Amino acid sequence: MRRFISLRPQWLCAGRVRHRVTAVTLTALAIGGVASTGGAQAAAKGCSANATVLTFWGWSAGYNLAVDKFNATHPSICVKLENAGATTDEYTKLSDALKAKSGTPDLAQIEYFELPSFEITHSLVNLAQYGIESAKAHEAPAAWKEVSQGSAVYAMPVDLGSMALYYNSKVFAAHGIQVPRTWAQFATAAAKLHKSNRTAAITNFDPESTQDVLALMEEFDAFPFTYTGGSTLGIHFTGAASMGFANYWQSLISKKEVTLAADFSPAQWADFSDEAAASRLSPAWGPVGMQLSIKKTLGDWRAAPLPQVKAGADYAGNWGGSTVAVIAGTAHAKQAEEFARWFGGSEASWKILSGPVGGAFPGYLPLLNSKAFQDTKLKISGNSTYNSVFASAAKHVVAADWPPIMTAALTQWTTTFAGVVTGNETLPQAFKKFQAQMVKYAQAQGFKVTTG
Amino acid sequence: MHRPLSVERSPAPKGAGGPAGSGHAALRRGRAQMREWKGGLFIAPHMLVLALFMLAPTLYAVYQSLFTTKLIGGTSFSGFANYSTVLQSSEFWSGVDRVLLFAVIQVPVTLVLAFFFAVIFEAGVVPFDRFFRTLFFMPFAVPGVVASVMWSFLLLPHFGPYVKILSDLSVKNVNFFSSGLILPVIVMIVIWEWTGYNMTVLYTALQAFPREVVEAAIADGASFSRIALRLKLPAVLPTITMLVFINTVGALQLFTEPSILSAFQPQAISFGFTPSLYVYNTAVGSGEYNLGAAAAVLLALIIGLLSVGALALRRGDRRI
Repeated sequence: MRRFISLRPQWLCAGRVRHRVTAVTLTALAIGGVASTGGAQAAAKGCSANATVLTFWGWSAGYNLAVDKFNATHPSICVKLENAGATTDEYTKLSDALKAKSGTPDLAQIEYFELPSFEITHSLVNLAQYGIESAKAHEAPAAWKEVSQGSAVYAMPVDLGSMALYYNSKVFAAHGIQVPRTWAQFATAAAKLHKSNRTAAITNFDPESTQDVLALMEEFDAFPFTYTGGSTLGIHFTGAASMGFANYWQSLISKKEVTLAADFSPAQWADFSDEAAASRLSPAWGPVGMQLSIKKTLGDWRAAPLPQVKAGADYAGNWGGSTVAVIAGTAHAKQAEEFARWFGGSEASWKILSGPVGGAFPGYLPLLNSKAFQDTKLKISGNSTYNSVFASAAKHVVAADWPPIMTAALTQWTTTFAGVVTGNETLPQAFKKFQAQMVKYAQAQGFKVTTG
Repeated sequence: MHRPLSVERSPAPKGAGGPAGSGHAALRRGRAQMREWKGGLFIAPHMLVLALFMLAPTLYAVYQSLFTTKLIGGTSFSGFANYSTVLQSSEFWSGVDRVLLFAVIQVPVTLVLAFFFAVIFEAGVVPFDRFFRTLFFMPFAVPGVVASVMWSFLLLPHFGPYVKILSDLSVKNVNFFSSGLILPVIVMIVIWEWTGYNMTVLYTALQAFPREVVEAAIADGASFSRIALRLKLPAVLPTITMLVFINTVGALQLFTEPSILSAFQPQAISFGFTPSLYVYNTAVGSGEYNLGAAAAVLLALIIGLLSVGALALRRGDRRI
């Protein structure tokens, strides 16, 4: 999610604006008004009078430009982009509109993690019947898996946020640290670094950032949910794999070998800038915003695959990215599918989405595989082809089994995990607490819950 | 403003239906009915809006609170199950405790400050008093959302000027968003927002106080503070009671400030930091609309009970 966020002013700490009313007000004021008018006007401008009109709720930067391009090249369809708020704000509005059976859009931008929540209420159109399968070969496997449920396909993947170890090569070299291949080596490197410099930490770990932690758990082969549609939901925060993950990070936290700043906070950027945190477990969309947010160490940062649980494995986590789904009740599902497929899976669209305004990281293989894309250079990474590492990771992302209760999980997470940062509780304790909360919530929602 | 709760109605004519062929009485009754009918027309728009935006949603919330909607299994009648869930939620009660503590601090401090400034402005002992009165009132004109965003900027760790100033005064590492300081910070923001408003109301009330009495008191050698506390304060006591009531209800519904602050520092504001936030996070954040409705109804009941208590107290006051 929120690939765009690191480009926003840092004070907003926007990676963490989740589900509060503020997001409504701030986003609506700052972005909403401007973007929606811009989109609507542009759509009206490029459309012929008898075109089929489709409403599309989306919030990411550059979407309006891609929509304009589509309208210009597809005269029989007229897509009108509307900004109904970002992420959870949009989802709230969407589920309210669905409940009221009035005012739903034809298409909506939905992040991967939220799809099952809408699938379970039968709010998304199965696109398999309209031929979306033809796009499958061009999408990163994990992205396709996350939009599918059995033979049904509920959305078209757009962007991704595959993760890599983004490290300060000068700090690593100065302390004689080899790039760790496994998490065990990573812990050893953390100890070595902290021993030679008591104010240095190997990386930053934000326990309060739900999506960051879940992405790392995904790569750790410890994703705490299992769900394949239907009424049975697995919640495994207290399972052996999850506890292994919690104990691993708690050990680094206790020894002060990682910093605990909030993701995207000024404190976190200062730590990277001042060499207090020597690496970032970064999503693919991370470096661009980071470059704008740190003052020193520009040019020193290199990318390497994330450390692995088992040596020789090649798993990647994913943090962020969106899909475009067709909303139930639309009278133009066929045209909507055509737009969605074009939007997430065409060269013309990706030329705009990955451009300077959009800056999205693709799930679209032709772009991921292109030499020009992999050779992209950024000032923060000097002459290195950092993007090739993220592009490769995108193809090795472990697909997550998102539960249909992610909105509640995001809402309740921060309060439960706040104590880990202040030292009032440990990460395993927070996991146990959260397990109980989620099980209680899921059972109240009528799910048969499996644990362990 | 003084008596927002009692609607003045024309008194029903007494003696109607009295003895012996009361043609006059019938006429009087007719006129009175006419008056009431006209009066009814005047308050109709208010009542309509009240019904549409207050009564109907409230009744709908009560109705909603008696059902449970599950993702698996749909909607079913669940009686008072949602109420018992909320009543047993420590998160909800911790929020109630917090807003009560908040009210106990914020309301008296606001009113003492407001009374102090109203008295000195009204007595005309401050030069440029018009300018200062406007200045004091200005925070009230700033929407709560904007005020909270502004204060968040000012107090943000590593960023806000106040943290820097304190640091320069060798008070290092102050985190205004820490669990110990977040409530005092919100108290301060709300006092900043509301003192001017309360001051203006009291200032207006004080202007009704007869000048001659003050002059007589001065002639008798009463000090400024004695006049303020022994003469003026009792005179505006009904207004103060009303302000206590309004401020307390506002405090119990605390929502805007903490919800904005949480956008800046999410860990500072918990899920049920205030009862209103609990309602919002339960209904909108977790999609449990029925549970949220039950919590909202309970919050309304708590405020209602406190209001009835306050009104009883006020009636008692009047009898003295």
